[in-house]
Amino acid sequence: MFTMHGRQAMQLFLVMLCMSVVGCVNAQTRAWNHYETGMKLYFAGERPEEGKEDKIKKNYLAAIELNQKLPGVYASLGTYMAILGNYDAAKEYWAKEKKIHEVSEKAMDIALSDDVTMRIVDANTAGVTMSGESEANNTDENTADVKANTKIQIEDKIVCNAETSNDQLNGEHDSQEDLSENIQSEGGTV
Amino acid sequence: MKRIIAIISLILFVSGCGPEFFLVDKYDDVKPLSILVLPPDNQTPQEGVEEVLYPLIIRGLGEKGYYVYSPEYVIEVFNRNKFDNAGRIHGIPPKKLAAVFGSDAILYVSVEEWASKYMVLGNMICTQFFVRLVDSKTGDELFNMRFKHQYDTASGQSSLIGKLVASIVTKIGEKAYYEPASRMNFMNIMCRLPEGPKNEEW
Repeated sequence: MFTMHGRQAMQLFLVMLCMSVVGCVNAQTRAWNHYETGMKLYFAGERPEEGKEDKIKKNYLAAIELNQKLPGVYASLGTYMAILGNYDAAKEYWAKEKKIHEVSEKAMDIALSDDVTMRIVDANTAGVTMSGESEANNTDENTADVKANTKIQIEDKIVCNAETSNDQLNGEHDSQEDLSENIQSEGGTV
Repeated sequence: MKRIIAIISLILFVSGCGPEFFLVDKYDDVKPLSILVLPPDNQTPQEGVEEVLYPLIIRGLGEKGYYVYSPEYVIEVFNRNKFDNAGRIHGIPPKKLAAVFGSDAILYVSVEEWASKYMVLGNMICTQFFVRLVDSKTGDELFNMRFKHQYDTASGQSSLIGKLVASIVTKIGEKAYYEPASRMNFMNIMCRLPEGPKNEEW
């Protein structure tokens, strides 16, 4: 079917194909390794120290470099940037997540549609841990006020979003008040 | 005749030993693309379980081809809405979560055991998870599985001295063994869940 020359070319093509496939697998695995490391460091409460390398950001960026379609990685980086107080970068990354993964649109809009939504942690504070306890000493009254106000705003936003979507789904809820009570009572009774 | 009964009994015994799981019949019809993984509900007295487990779950599902929402983002949204406890978060109705995040399905993970058993030669890290995947729109369960895994920290050590050394090392750095132990447990569960729509892309 192939001439000698053609056969060699075919073999070479197959070898290159195999190599590229193996390369892809490795790149994907390495991308996940970096993303996982970034997540672990984030949840372990590690935050950058002055003059030292930001390991979390470095890992997220490395993951993106290897596979920018990795689900959630831009959103993670955006959230991390917001925690550090870099809101412009945060919004940029959330927008990228939304653009790459259409399924994330609704989730990303929580942060993107409201400027204040993710701005509860001061740039100098360390963020919020998995248990929800603030690592920073939020003794500053202004920060506490901002935090409290923002929480309320987000709560309204979620309730609002939930109301709209639920109405679209089944029209069960008539007012925002009803839904607000629902989300609090149903969530709270568990 | 006795031999046949013995063989049948053995087959039944072996087949009964396999881990049980539930997968809805119409899974391929409703196959979700996006999964909202809620923070793991730690029902053990151990601390720091979620920090180890959450990234593993995200990776496990992502590598299977499902879109998984950023756990950092999800946690932040919940925290800022005063939902800072996994138990409470698990109590929010799926429809409401879907309305906020837009997810096709929701994954609930409960950590039922997270402990180490000390032995003279080698140690066992025991983990037990209960995983449930629920359709966001209907609230129907698509998949569930409870799995207990015992991770032998001295596996691979054939000599007595090797096992003894491994046992001592485990006692010193016990925390480090929980990650491979929980990863293996979760992988055992994930291999029962069908591939996601984007399994080749991610």
